Amino acid sequence: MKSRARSSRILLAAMALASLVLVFSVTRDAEAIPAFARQYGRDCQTCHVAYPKLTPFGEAFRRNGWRHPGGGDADYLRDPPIPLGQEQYAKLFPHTVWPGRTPAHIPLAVTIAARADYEPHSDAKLSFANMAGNVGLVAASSIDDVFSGWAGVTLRAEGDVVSVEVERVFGVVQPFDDPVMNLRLGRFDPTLWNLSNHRMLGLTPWMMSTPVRDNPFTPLPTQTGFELGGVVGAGRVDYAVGVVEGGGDRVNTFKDVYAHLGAKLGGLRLDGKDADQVSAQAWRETSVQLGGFGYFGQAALGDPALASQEDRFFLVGGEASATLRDFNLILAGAYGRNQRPSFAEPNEKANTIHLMSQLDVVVYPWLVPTVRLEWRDVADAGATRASGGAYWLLRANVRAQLLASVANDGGHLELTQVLAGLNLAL
Amino acid sequence: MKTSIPWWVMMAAALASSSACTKDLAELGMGPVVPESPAADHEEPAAPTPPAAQVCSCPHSHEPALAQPLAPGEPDSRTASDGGEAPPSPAVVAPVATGVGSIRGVVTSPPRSTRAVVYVEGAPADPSRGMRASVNQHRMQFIPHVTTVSVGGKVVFHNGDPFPHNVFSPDQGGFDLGTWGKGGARVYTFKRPGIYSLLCNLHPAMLAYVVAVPSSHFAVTDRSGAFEIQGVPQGSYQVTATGPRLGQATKTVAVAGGEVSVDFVLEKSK
Ligand SMILES: [Cu+2]
Repeated sequence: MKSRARSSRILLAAMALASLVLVFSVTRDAEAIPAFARQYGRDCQTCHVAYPKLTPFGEAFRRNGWRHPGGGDADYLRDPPIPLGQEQYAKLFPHTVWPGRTPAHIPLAVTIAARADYEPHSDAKLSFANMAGNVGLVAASSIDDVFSGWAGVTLRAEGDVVSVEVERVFGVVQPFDDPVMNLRLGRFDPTLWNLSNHRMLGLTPWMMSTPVRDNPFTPLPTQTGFELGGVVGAGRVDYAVGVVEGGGDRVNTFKDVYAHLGAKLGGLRLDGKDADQVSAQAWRETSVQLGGFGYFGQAALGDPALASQEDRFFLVGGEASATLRDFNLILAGAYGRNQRPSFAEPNEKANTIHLMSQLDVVVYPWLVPTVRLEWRDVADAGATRASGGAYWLLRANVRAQLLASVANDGGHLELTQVLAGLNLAL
Repeated sequence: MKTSIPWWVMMAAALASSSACTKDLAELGMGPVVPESPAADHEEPAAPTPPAAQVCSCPHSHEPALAQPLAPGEPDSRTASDGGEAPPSPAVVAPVATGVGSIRGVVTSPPRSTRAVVYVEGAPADPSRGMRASVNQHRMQFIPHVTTVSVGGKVVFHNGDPFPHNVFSPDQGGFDLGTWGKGGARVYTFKRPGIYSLLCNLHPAMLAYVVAVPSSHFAVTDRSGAFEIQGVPQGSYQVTATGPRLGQATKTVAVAGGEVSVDFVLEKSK
């Protein structure tokens, strides 16, 4: 009896997961935005392998609060920014507002996602629900040498229902010339792994999106709060500490806390200031990036208005990402423990283990296949998934992708999802 | 195969060849110059020559262009004639001597064209001019946007950005100088005439041009389209105006000391 209830829960969880995968794999494409291309007269390839995946330079640009590494970012702009108070007013401070500037044009990008989904276990099997009606609006820019902002909204139509989703909205404060200690405030993706679903190829990883029982927490998609992080150690060590709302953004009395520590050996420094090698292609380098994190949280289960039960949990994890020429191999994992994740069975604890490996290969600058193996054991329910496909850049800002997954979730291996999509970014 | 020479060998070679030369390079803010890669220029002898000697035939002065960063908000505004090209040596800029004149005029081209190049064919070659130029990579742009060099002349490509750049061209048989980092420089000899687009495979938005002309008497137009070619010996010559993505026009001009004026109208090429 118990196992039947469990398996139905797993089924529900799997369905929830599948819907999460569908949602995230659309929304996260907003990471690649031509707002920067417009501002700087830059191409996509400088920062992206196949978007949203970043090149080492793109990663450094991101870590610098979307500025060019090495300072003098304003000199790269195509159109000079509008001064909000001329620089000379700084001499009058505190009798004047510190002079600032704003981009000459609204740094706005629009992303369009159209996708067909084939799911053998759904009623419709072949669904065009995502074929029309996913519009991403993202504005992102550095404002000056200290402040930056990112604001993303996704408009989605499913049938007659149109929804507006605030994707990520956050500000970045970079008080020093280099990103040694940056503050992120707002709704953002917390730095746990260096991997981010917003910047990687393939389906949303299980380890970022699988809730444990009734606890709504997953590392994705976003958290609200603040994070202090940066790059130290000659540009080779990165860290982050954060305090966030946690628990699926529900109002918690207790905030969740996390810390991340990572290092990059070889290749371009994380702050982009220098490289120990010169790569002939933007995506190439010989490097190994390591990282680990710990997350401690407390989440309300069930109706947040009642919130009669809270689950305390922790999640620790890590990853290694090795890049050699056109290959990028990623190994990542996580271990978690939840104190009382089940609403129905409050005395039951749960352990979670996730492992994944992924290989991305740049066959051509416009063709990037990816394969991934994932294994998870969430509250004694084991599952394996193999997924993969290819990203094809028809243009730098027009991308087609075909992805498929087979999973063994409680017994036999079966095709779970095929998705074919076209993304346009303008 | 890329040429890989230990830094200490290059250093020794540079020191041995000409200390004045290396000093000049240092004053220009130019880092070590990597010799031309044999793979990069199949027409070039495989054995690299000492780097300093290759880019510099002192005592000609080097132009100060590399020390002048582009003003923010003024992309692509610098041309060979206003900063990127070696200024004429004293002999060239000297007041018009007997038997030497200058050709000036205006090239009218469609709006938003790149700058045009005007060159004199048939004049005696002057090895002291037009054999060397430099292009800087600054703030992810090639500066200047149009550079002119005599056929057989060398262009030094200098990376003034804090991150690597590449230089290649798919034109006139093509070349690829490879990729190098902050402060480095490489040289390419333009042995074939023509218009070469310069690209960087790390930053596909980067674009500039080198126009290799069969002449040592040439100029790049300024922002208004005006040009002046000084130090042209007396005689009757074919003067040609052309440019990246522009057509070509040739006129016969007789130089008899003093100034002679000639204007051109160029259409966009297909
Ligand atoms: Cu470049």
